[in-house]
Amino acid sequence: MSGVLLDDLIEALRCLPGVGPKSAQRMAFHLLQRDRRGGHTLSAVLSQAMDRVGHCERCRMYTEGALCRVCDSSRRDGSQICVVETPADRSSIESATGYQGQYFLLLGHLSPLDGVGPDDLGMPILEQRLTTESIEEMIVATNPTIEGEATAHYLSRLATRHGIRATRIAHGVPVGGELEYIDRNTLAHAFNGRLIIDNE
Amino acid sequence: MRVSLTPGIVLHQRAFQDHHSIIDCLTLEHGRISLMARGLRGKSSRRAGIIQPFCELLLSFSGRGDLPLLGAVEPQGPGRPQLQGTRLLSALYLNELILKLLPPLDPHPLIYRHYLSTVTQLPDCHIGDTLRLFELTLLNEMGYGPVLDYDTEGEALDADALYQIDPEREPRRIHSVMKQDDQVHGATLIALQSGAFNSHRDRLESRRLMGLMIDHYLDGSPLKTRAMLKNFHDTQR
Ligand SMILES: [Zn+2]
Repeated sequence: MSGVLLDDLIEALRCLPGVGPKSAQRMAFHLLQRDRRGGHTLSAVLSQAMDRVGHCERCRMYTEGALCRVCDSSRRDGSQICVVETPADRSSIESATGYQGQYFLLLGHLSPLDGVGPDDLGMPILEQRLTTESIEEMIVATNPTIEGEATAHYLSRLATRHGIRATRIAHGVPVGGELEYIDRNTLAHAFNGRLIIDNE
Repeated sequence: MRVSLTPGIVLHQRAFQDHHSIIDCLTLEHGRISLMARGLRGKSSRRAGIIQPFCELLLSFSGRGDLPLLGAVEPQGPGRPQLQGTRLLSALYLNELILKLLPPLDPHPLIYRHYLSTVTQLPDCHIGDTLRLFELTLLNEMGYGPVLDYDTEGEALDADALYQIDPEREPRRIHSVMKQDDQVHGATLIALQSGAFNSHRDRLESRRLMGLMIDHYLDGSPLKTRAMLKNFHDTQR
């Protein structure tokens, strides 16, 4: 802390992703000049959130209660569980698909070279759920990166060991994309994951 | 330093700030090198699908200091091999070996070529044998390889005899039957030398011997992929 509040504010704003000294300064001036009410709201909510938001006991999503909205709902399908890497991934699936099942968040992926192992990803909690809940399908929605693939394989073995069917989300050609412009690794992935065309 | 489209392989990628990555590479002509890849992550990146491990690329980089900037990248040869499960982890194990054992900026064309042929074979090969031969090539090229053709007395190896292993010396013939972790049969040393493993014992003892050698040169630094491979096996049971 510099003792000068303006400098402290600019410095503090730089903890946000993608915010360098210039943008931090712009944000600070904006709040002070034009939007003090917004600034007050931001500071109050931010402070409360930092104090009270923890992880959902069942799926590890951020929540201030013991359970998140999805886990607390009685209307969700208990036979499916979708495993994702990050809260952002869960939000994307939630808004893009009509998925009505359960979730589990790893908050990362297996990365042996970085020293991230199964225990760091809450695998014991997930295994507990596979044992106690009546889950029939595990949808593995990790990223198609090397680490995401390694994680997917670990998860599918875990599921199989508990007699649960493991499925992997498809990866490949983006909708509206043209094959000619797709990189070879993505295309190879899509080619290997091809599906039978339904003639109905 | 300004290098244009030189053959190289990505070993590891780490996030740096929001959209950048640091990639650790093995190059044919410059050895192991870390490069700053600006804008590699995020949805606007068109290169993420190309800059993938386990396959040969042509890499350009420039700049002084520890972390040159990655420039143009082009695919070269076949793309990333389709690896899953144990085979994927085994490929990561190769990467960890190179990252931990090979000093930076020390070119070893033979290690480079052997690495490339190893990952190409990995989707469809005897994993253990393939890993042993890579470990052996890596150590040999670095000058740390075990002596596999004669013992401390200068005698040729006897397939049926037992030998005591010291990572920095020739194998020493022993006449006791006492079994210890650093003892192997002559047949194992001969198998490693010829690259042809004929029995379960050859394979088991080769793994132990190479593990011993590697641990010696790693000097206490644990191999995380080795632990995870073991974990995968345990999960399978
Ligand atoms: Zn939850």
